[in-house]
Amino acid sequence: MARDIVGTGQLIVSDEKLSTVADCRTYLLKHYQNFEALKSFSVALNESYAEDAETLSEGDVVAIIPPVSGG
Amino acid sequence: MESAIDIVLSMTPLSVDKAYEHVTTAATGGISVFVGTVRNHTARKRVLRLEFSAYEPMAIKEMKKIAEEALHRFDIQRIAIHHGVGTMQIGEKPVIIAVSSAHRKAAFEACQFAIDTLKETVPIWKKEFFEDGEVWVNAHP
Repeated sequence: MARDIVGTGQLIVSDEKLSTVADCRTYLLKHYQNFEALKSFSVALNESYAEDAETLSEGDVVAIIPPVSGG
Repeated sequence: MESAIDIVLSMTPLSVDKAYEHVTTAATGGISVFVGTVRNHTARKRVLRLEFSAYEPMAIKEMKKIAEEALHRFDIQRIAIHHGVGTMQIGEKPVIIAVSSAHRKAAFEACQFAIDTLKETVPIWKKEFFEDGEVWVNAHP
């Protein structure tokens, strides 16, 4: 779903410094307005749900998790 | 304790028998099995098929967490959580959860806990296909 919004499965951000999970969230909302239409979305850091205050380190894998609907 | 948990995320059709067999032990007194099936309608609209996609490594981790939590919280013996990905037609089974216990109450409760939590936390998404379009389920307010 996030792939549909961004248009790619991997997003390379070179124009802004993203140092926290909250920065990622802000960046996405600024550049891809369709994220605003979502009910909510979470951010995962290294395959675990992350809080907004968590900081990013070199090599961390960041993933956007829109509202899930498995089952 | 590792063999108490069986997690599957698969492109190939799921098997109730496999989940059932995994949780069966000589000490088992009851097994609760939940099977999710693809239904042909949503809010009075005809659904043609569903498509499931997953963030696979994290989905597997989250399913494992649910199984571990269920073993911790309820007096159960084994738990299997199987989920499918890809296109599914009406009647197919996107999810199977099986739980065994000595006495039925724990198996029922753990099974309900597992499917309820899976629907909240596991990064899997389904898209519904209608005659006149498609929509990601639960995505928008």
